[in-house]
Amino acid sequence: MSGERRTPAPSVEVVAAWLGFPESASRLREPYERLSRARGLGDRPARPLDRALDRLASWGRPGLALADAFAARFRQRGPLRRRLVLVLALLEVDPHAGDVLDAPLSRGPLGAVLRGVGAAAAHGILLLLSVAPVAWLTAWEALGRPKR
Amino acid sequence: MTAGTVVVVGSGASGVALSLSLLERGRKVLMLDVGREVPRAEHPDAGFPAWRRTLADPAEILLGRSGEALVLPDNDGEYYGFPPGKQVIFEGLEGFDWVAEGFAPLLSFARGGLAEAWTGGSYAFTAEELEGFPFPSGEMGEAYEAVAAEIGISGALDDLMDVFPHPVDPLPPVEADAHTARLLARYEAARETFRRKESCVLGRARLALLTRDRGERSACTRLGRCLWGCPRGALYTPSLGWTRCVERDGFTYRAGVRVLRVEASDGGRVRRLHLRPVSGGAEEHLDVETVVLAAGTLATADIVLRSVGDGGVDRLAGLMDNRQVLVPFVSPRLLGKGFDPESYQYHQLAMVIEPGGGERQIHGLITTLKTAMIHPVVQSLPLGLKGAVRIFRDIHGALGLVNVNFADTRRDESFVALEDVGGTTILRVHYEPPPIERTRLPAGLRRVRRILRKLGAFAPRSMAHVRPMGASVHYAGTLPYSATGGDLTLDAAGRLRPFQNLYVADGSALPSLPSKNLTYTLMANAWRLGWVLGD
Repeated sequence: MSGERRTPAPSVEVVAAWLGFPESASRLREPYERLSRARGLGDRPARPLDRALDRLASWGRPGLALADAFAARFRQRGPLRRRLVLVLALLEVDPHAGDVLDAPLSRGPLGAVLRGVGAAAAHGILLLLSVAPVAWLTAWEALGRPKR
Repeated sequence: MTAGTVVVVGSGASGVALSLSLLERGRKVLMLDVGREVPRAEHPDAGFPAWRRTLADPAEILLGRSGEALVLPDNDGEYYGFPPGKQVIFEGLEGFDWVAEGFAPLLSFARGGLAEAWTGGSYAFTAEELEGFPFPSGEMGEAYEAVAAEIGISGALDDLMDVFPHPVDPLPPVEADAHTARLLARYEAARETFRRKESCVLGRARLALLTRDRGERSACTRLGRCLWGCPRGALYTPSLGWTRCVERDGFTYRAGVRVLRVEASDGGRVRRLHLRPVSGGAEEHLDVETVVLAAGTLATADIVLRSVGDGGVDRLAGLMDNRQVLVPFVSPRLLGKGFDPESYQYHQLAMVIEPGGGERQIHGLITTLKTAMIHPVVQSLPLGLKGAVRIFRDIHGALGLVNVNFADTRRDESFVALEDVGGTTILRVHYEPPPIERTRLPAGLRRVRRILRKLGAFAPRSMAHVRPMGASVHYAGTLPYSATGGDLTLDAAGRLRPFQNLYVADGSALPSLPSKNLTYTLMANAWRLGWVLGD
């Protein structure tokens, strides 16, 4: 690691549980590590913002929700978002989680619309709440970077 | 090699159709091919969810050992990750290099060629669209019917018959899923409005899909596994036709060789082929009587350019391809409703805007996406991933996609050439879109969205994805049929001028490219060529 600090990041099990599939989590570790390596997702992020998002995401489910909302809006192609998408891809090919993901949550158009409005509102709130911690952690990551 | 043998270069849709036609007429065929084998799907009776449960390592089979089918956020807006089991179709070949401008070429060195990834759309050209072919369109009509009899094409005798005249007696269509049935019912309820006000016809897709058992191939039972390769052989791919060739007397197959060029006498008679084993080793020579190039438009161009380079020809102009735009849509009435993953997965409906033809004609293939990977679509929703997953679960059964195809014309600005790069000769592919595209694309997409609205669906403008040229893999036009003659054009017999015994049977031959999938036409053209050479 050449003296660089490791940035904490959420484990695949935590992400799977946060997405609602704790029972599938244990099956994901091996393919997650394999595909992370293959697609270069395991490297330490170079940008302070990405390290800040990783750090925030490692603060349990609330931190993960805030980091996810921020990354979805401002760092769509960033490393956190890429790792989250990988976990989702692994869940959809998992027989148990895949069957669940194929089933709707609502019972019809009205329920689906209400759920959609709720999800959009929740996203907006999380996005607002995420700005301050992300800004603070980014400054901390930028200023605290080891000198070469 | 036995006297009278026809050498066919390539095992794709054209090469196999030509070989079957020649063998039917008692001719002997030697097929030369790189011929990498595409793995066959297993468990021919398991529907998608049950099949997923049988997989020891579902991530490896569905996403790939190295995540080849994983679509991460830095993709180019594609909604599909190509299935790992089919990656071999597009694997490159050492020593066959290319550069491209304005074009993202796909080549295949697999047995069955690019059409191993064919989604079965079988759309015959009309008599008007065959005008540039220097023989009566009726001959192609007979060839379309012969191909349909060989591979099996399903469809319905509906409004699309005027635009897709063959086959005249298709197999019954595959059972429609609920979403498809709903869209079709909306069309039929306001059919005259669609036809008159929108100049749009819609109907059941014409598919190279068996809906009745035929020989070794079984009818589609809607397993929902089409994307990963039909395990029942219901959906036609050229490797199934290749198996039929192997079963017949007079067919010889040599895999593991790349044809480099042809060598002709001064009179234009091809005497021998120059080959190289793909495993390495010295160049070989093969004496020949009759040669048909069916290696695919780009690989055939490579062979021809290497063969005629001394004559001062360094490029083949007129490269064409269909521009494709993916237009996702949602049918709000189906939000929050479930769906059956065990349904036919490729397009079940087809629409044509401006059915009269011309460069403004649009051909849309409508699929209702059930077992395709969801992560490429979920990540495109403007929400955090958890919220997007929850919303997507309610949208999934209501989601569909129109693959919109636009026509192309031969133009000098788009060409294939050879280029020297560091002492190595490589293929150069250059494409420039037609000037009309700037206005045609947005106008066409507006019409598609309006028609979807009338079908009770909503297509967000921001989610339409213009695919790069080359993505449709409908390459054509570099060695076209011509009634007026000219070197490196084809006569009515498919003979490449000025050669006496060199023929071309693949997409290179097409003098125009309507907005339709060309595979059925390639096969029909090759089948007809088999009649010409067979007699």
